[in-house]
Order: sequence, then C-alpha cells, then structure tokens
Amino acid sequence: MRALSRHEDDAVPAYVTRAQTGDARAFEDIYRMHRREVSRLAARLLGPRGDLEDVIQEVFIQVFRSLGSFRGDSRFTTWLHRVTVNVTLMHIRALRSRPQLGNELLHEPAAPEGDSPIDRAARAERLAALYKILDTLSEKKRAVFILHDIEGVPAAQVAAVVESNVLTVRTRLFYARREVYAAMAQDPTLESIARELQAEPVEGATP
Amino acid sequence: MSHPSNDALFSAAQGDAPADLAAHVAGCDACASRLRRLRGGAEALREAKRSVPDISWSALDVVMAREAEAAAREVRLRPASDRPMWLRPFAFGAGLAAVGALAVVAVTLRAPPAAPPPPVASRAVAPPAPATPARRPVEATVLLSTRGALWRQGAGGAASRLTDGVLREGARIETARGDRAVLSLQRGARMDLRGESLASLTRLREGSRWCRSTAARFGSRAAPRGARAAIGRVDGARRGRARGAQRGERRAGGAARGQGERRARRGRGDELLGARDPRAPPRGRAAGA
Repeated sequence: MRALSRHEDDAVPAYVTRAQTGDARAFEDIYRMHRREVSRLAARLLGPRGDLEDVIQEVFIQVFRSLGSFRGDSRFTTWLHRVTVNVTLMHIRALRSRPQLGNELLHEPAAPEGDSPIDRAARAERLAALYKILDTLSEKKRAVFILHDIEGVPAAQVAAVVESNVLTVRTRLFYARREVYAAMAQDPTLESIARELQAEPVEGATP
Repeated sequence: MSHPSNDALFSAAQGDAPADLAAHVAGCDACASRLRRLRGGAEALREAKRSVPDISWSALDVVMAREAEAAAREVRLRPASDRPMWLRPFAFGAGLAAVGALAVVAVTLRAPPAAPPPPVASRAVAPPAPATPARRPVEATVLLSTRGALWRQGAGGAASRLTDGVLREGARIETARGDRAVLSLQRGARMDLRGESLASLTRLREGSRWCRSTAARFGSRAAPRGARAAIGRVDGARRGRARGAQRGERRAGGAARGQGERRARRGRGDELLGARDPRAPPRGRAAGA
C-alpha cells in the first residue's frame, strides 16, 4: 500500500485549498507532489503501450479543471487516483478504437543500474506477455486487479477509487484472478520465461 | 489426487506448494506445464510491481507550469457560486420567470386606458432592436510552441514566431511539419495544433461542438461540461489523418504514412466543426468527487 498512504494524514492538503482560490503556485505543488504516484499508477494501468506522458499531462489538466468540484468528501489522493484511473481507461479505450500499428512499445520502464540490453529485453518481454493477458479483462476487472494485485492498494480504498463497495471489488478481483491465471496457464510464452529464469546463472556461481 | 486448480498452482508457483500438490505435479505433465507457465506469469506480475516508468520530466514540467498558471487564472476569473452546476439552468429560468411576472404586473397596473389604435397605414414600424449580448473578446495564452510555429494578426498580417504571450481575436496560427503549438483558450478549452495546421481565433456560433481534428486537436482534451461555444476555427486540417497514423509517421514510418495520406485525400478541405466522434467517451466522467 505505497501509493495512497503518502498523503493519507492530510485529507485535504493546504495546497489544494490554496489552489481552489486561484494560487498558481499551489497548482504546481499539486503536480510536483503527486506526479510520481500518478505516473506509476498510469503506467501500470496503461502497460507498455500508449503515450504515458500524454496521459500524465491529461490527468493533471483534468485535476486542475475539476479541482473546484472537489469538496473533500473523500481523501484528495483517493480523488486523484480516481481521476487517474478514469483518464487512463479513456485513453486505453481511444487506443483500442484506433488502427493498431503493430506491437510497438511506446514506453519502457526505467532500467536499473548496470542492466544489460538482454535483461532489458527480457523484462520488456515479461511485461508485454502480462499486458497481453490483462488486455483480455474487462475494464472494471482490469482496474481492480491492477490497483489491488500490482499497485497493492487495499480493497477498501480500491472501492473508493472505483466508486463501488468492497464486496463488489472482492467479487471483481476473484473473477479477474481466475481469468488471469487461466490465461497464464494457457500461454506458452510464459513457459519460456519460466525456463529462462530457471536457466539464469546463480550469482557467484562459476560459469 | 485430481488436477489442481489454477489458483492452487499459482500459489505453488509463488513458492508455497503443499506436499500432495508437489507430488501430483511431479507425476503429471499437463500440470507441470501449467505450473511452469504460471511461474512465468508470477514473475511477470513481480516485474510489473517492480517497474518504474521512465519519464523525461523536464518537458512535462514546462507544460504543466503553464497549465497551472492558466488554471489559476481561470479560477480567479470564475464568478464565485456555491450553487451546484445542475441547479444553474433552473435558477436562471426561475429568475427570468420572476422578472417576466413582475413586468406583466407593472404594465397591467400602470398602463393608461387604451386609446383607439391609429389607422394601420400611419403606424410606424420600428424594426426590433437586435439582441447583441455582450461578449468577451476571444483570447488565447500560448502554453507551448516549437520553433516553426508562427502567428499573424488576421489573414494579411505579417508572420512572427509564436512565443509566450496572449493572442487576440483574429490571430492566425500556423505550424509546419513536425511543429506543435498548444494554446489555452477561454472556458478551459485548449487548442493543440500538431504539424501542418492552420487555425484562427474566432468565435463560432453558440452550440458548435468541439473539433476533433487530428492534425490539430482542438478542444478535444477534456473540454469541461457545458463548454459548447467554440472559440476558434481550424482551417484545412486534414480530417482523415488519424492520430494513430500521425504517431505512425513518427514511430513506425512509411506504411502508416501511406494510410494517413490515403485518408487525407478522402477528407481534405476545411475542417467541419461539429465533427465530434459519436463513439468518443462522454466528457466530464473523469472527475467525480
């Protein structure tokens, strides 16, 4: 539960209140304080396709415009995540309605220090395989699965983000997992990934 | 033991396999294969949890700083009202009805006894005064512009480089291939001109919808609910040039360009404002506090 807890203590932070009165600095503060969590959540929802920077920009523009309607009924971070989820899902919908130009990866995760190109390619392959499976889920199940099982958000907060109740979230999660595991069990690409992982030399072992 | 479920195998793939399941998998090829795939899947999930997006923040920071300024200015200009959005049309209607009722009462009470009407031929016919509601002039703040983006005041004005500042009504903006200009318009709308676009700042009639051109995306970025009066016009934007095809030009190359150009030939001409894609998702859903 990393994403939502950072600003938990302050349900309506002071910079939000200042932004609602037209303070330009406060709008910038919102962007600077939340851009990393928004980018991480958007990247996980989007997968390795789509224009992540466009989505992040779109999320904050939407947040800036709608800030006047934020009354503090929920925590600011919950509201922010709701906007992020909705904007990203809209972007995914738009991507699906456009002609596909092949499986081009439009953004890649940051590579750790000393990562070789082979490692990077393997990582990209794993992510592509996962998102191919997640693409078969319905929007609602996909959002719940990613928020809960990848982002690590507790079910109660997922319910607040997707504007539903905990029971519905748990039901969606149950069916999402069932579909994901069934698809994984059928996917031969994942078998080769598992084989590669087993074949990787153990650190310190002589080649 | 019967074949274990995918759930049980996934748990086993993550490390905690009960003894009877491990024994079954050791003797069953189908389940061993499923377990290997689920192990790969579990690793892919772990990869997704570990991954951090690689973003170049500097360009985004510049755009967002300007968006923040534009948003703050919009908030300061907005009249303060605690009334919910959905009540506003009713409140306006109720106000209008009250004024009308008062006017009727006043006229009825104060009107002198009616004189016989003059002959029809001598009656002066005054043309009704045209209703000209006061309007704010169109303005646009430049949020982002690349080197080749130009602007001129009116069709015959001299072209200058589009830099920071505010553009007035009648200004025309041009972008060359590969250029981009983003302008913040009134009522929270944005004009995002990609390469080879020509747009002019002019007020369209009330009720015009937002243009969803692709060479120039105008107002399509989350226009606020009710923001229907379009400000601006995009001329000669190639309608058929889908964003996907544009992206293809940048990233994939020739095949996509061919597709975009074929579509462009079909749809060339002035952009029809009001061409909002009916399949497009409804606006305003993204922010539900």
